[in-house]
Amino acid sequence: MKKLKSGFWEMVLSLTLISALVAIMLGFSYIKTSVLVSDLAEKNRRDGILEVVVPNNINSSDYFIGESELIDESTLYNVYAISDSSLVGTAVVSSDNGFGGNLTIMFGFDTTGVITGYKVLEHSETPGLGAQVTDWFKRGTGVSSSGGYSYERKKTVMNFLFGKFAASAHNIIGLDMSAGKASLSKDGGTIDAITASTITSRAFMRALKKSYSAVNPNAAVDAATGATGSAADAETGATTVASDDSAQQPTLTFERKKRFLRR
Amino acid sequence: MNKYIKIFTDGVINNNPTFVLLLGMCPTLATTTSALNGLGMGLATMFVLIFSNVFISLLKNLIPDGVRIPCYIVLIATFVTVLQMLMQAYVPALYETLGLFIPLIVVNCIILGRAEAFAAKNNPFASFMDGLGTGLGFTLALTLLGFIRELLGKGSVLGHVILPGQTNILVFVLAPGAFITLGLLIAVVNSVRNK
Repeated sequence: MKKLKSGFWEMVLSLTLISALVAIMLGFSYIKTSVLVSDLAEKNRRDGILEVVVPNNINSSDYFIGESELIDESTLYNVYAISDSSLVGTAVVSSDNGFGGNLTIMFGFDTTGVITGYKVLEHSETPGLGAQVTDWFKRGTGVSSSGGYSYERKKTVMNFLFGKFAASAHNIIGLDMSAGKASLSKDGGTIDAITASTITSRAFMRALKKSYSAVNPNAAVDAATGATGSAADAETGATTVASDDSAQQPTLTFERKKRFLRR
Repeated sequence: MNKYIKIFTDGVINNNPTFVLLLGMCPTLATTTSALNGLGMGLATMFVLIFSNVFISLLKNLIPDGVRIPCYIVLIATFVTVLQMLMQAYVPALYETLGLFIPLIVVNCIILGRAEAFAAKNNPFASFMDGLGTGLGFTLALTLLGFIRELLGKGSVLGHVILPGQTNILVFVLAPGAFITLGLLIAVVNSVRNK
């Protein structure tokens, strides 16, 4: 066959034929894969929810997941036990600005507000640094939420050089959010931030607090610091933490600004 | 037959797209954070390259010169979309790691370059061998690059940690490490080729 000339009708014919051929190929592969893809997405969503709410028993036949609910930018999925239809826990998807972009995390809480697990759904943090957010807050020593415990890192030379190997308390699984003490140790709390990734860690904590306040609307969230104190604890220790944070944080920034201006 | 073997080895060694022609640098630098990612990206590109080469070679007499670029791009984009659907359905983990770089295979200059320079002038079998050779050359280069970066940056080989954490040089997993590793590899390849 001789090569077609570049006349108007030849070009129209050629483009039409190729587009038709391409459409057939695309349609065929779409039909073949679309069911698989949507099944997979649905399964991933279900598995993810169960993974954070009931991490020790991911037997999906024991639970059913309620319709999603939207509360203050967070999406809630209630998980019920099939046996007696009781509420087992809630998975909440929240996001905040991380270092490299949106950080979207699904948190699992049991009915009393204890963190059962979390899963990072979307992030664009620096590999090796902020990207550790995917498992950092599940590893290491647990964090106490009973109060009176603050982790002090000894700033030895070894710890400075090999900071990531120093023992640190940053495992939030099992932390009781209703105690209202979930904040980073450098913000006056008990949870150690990811080494060299404070911005990512703060974004994580903000997302956690957003999630918890979506589950438990009684918890008052201070917008400036994100410190949470549940209504029940209003008169007790939790308030001290919350008000300390909100009182100190602005002055600190102000002090810093003054120092900066003087320079 | 020797002619076809030469086309194949040219693609892998003498005209290696990454180390000799320096084509397709965007996926080369961005996706080679580990050997498996490099391998996945290389195989994905090879898939598109083989199909686009064969189809363009089959249809070359039907495509007038005036509209050849749009025709090639439509065909290439189709194979990329098909590949994307297949990966999403069968290898979702790899699909998520490579993410945006799968649709970007459309604008990988190796593919349009081989279509224009080779497939449009040669028979389908020669084009197939060219696609296979060039694709394999690209895959090998990306895997090697990913292997070195993963070993130096994360101390692991194919995801298995073999070095203690203290010896990790994080910069090799980040963007600057890609440039440094690629530059050194090109220097090595050139010194070997010039002997």
